[in-house]
This record gives sequence, structure tokens and C-alpha cells, in this order.
Amino acid sequence: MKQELLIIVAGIALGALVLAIARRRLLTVRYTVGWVLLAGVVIVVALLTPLIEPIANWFGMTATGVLLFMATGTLLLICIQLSITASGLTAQQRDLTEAIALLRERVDELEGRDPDAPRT
Amino acid sequence: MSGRDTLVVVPAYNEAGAVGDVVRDLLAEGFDCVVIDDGSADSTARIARAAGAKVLQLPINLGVGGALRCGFRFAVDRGYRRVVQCDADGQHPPSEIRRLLAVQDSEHAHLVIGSRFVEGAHEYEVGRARRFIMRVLSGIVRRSGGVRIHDTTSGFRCIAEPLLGEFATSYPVHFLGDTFEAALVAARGGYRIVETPIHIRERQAGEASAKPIAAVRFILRAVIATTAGLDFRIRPLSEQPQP
Repeated sequence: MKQELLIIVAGIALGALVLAIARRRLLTVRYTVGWVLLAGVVIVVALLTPLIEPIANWFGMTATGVLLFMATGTLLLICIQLSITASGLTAQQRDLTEAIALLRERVDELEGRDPDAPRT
Repeated sequence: MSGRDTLVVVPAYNEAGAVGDVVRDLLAEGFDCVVIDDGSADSTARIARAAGAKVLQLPINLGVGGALRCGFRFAVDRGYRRVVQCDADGQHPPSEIRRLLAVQDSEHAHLVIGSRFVEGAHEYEVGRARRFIMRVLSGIVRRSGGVRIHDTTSGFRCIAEPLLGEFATSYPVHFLGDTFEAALVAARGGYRIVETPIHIRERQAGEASAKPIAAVRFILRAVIATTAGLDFRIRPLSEQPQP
């Protein structure tokens, strides 16, 4: 029972932490919702531990082992998801960077301005 | 082809020491050239401009592949039919560009690679490890692309339409992508690739970007990218609209 209690506290702490970060405008709604949902799942799973026990035994694992396995798997999937996001952002950033260089040159050309002069 | 359909693209990252002379040499030879300042911290852009080059300034450093694609886009926008990519450190003498262009003309090639290894090229000293890597890379291109290229990582190339248009939309930015992978993908796409010997000079300034530690990464990357089919995609020659 102590274990379940600990997991529930951890779940609540996670939710609170995420909300605190989100309130500081460091997280967009999209990620906030995801992490809050995850905190909810943690709490629910802790409450369901007694139900997990027989399934875990059937696989020859303890309930703790199953929980650890699920937690690790979830974190791994989140990491992969974030890598995908980062790859997309990198590609977009590259497109924009190139576009800016091309446009800047075009503007200087059209304005007939010295590109090295300070911009106002 | 006339001289005005060719643009020399010079990617430059912190090459203030050499880029001025490179630009002056190119202009003296009668080439149009554009310097892509890849987010340099030094005065590369100012010096290149003062030497008379058009300069595109990337606000952040993208790597050679990003700088090149920016140059390719610029070339396509301005109606150039072919591009010569040339290092900003003075390694590639402008006189050798004529040789690349002549080969492109006579062979109707889409990609001409200036090689430091093929017979007729100037003595090019490389370490044993480097030589081994080059062998592996050219073996991959031969087996997978069906083209014999010795110097797959040469950064001295001529790219002509329609391949230029493809590279202007899709060109890899990661390590090795802009040299080895670009050649491989072009070969797989059925584009005509020709390798020709060139003479290169000693670097005039700046730091060489290939370090010995990179050797293992070189091969790993190449093998992973080719076996897993991770390379970027371009339209093959057969799908190009007929002129």
C-alpha cells in the first residue's frame, strides 16, 4: 500500500509541476495537456495496482516490475516523439533561414542600399 | 553554353582570411559568383562584398549543405542553368572551374565531380585511414548507384539543370550529406555523373573541417544512410518534364 501511495504522490507532484511550468508560459497548451494526462495515468495506474498483480504474475513478473516496464516504455516513446518534433523544427528553421538570406539580399538590391550600413 | 548561365556558389564559414582573394580570382576569370555566409562570426560577408561578390547572409549557421541549397535556390531564382560549388578557403583554383564546365558541356553531365584522385590529378597526400574511407564510400556508390566515382567527398563540383532544380528543393545538411550522399542520390536518380581530375591548392587560411576522429562516423553514417534508405529524395531523371 505504501508503494501505491508513493506513486500517487509522485503523479500529483508531476501534475503540479507541469501546471506551474505552464503558468510561466514555458509550455504550450499542447504539451501541457499531454503531461497532465500522463500524470493522471500515473495516479490511475497506482490505484489499479491490485488489478495489475494477477496479470503481472501470469507473465512471471511482479506488479512493480510491470509498472517500471510501462514507465520506461512510455518515456521512451515520448523521447522518440520529441525527436520527431525536433527534426521537423530543424527542417523548418533551415527553410526559414535560407529564405531570410535570399529575401534580405533581394531587399538590399531593390532598395539599392549598402548592406553593411547599420539598419535602422 | 555561354558564361552567363553559370553561377559559382561559394559557401563560407569564418573564412574572412581567404574569401576576398577567392572572390577577386573568380571575378577576374569572368564568373558570376555568390558567397553564402553561413552565419559567420567574423567579417566574411563584408570582405566578400568589398571584393565584389553578391553575398547571401544566413542568420544562423546551417552547415555546408544548408549554405549550398541556399545558393542553389538563388541560382534557380535568377535563371542560371548550372552551378559550380567552390570552397572559400582558396583550395579550388578558378582556372579549374573552366575544366569542370568543359566536361559538363562535352559530356552533357548533370553532375561533374572534380576529383583529387583520378589519374591526371595533382598529387594529393592523404593518410591511410582517409584513403580507406574513400574506398569504402566509392564502393557504396558503385554498388548502389552504379557509378564509378573515386572522390565522393570532393567539394568541387558542377551541377546542371535539371539536377540543380532538384537540389535547390532538397539537399541534405548533415555531415557527409552534401558530398557523398548527394552524389549517391543523383546516381540512383539516373542523373549523368562524370568525374574529372582537378588540381587543388594548399589551403590559404581557415581550418580544415575533416578531422581524423571523424573517420568512424564517416563510414557508419554512410553505411546506415545507404542500407536503411535514409537518404533525401529527389525526382529521378526519368520523371523530369521533357524540355
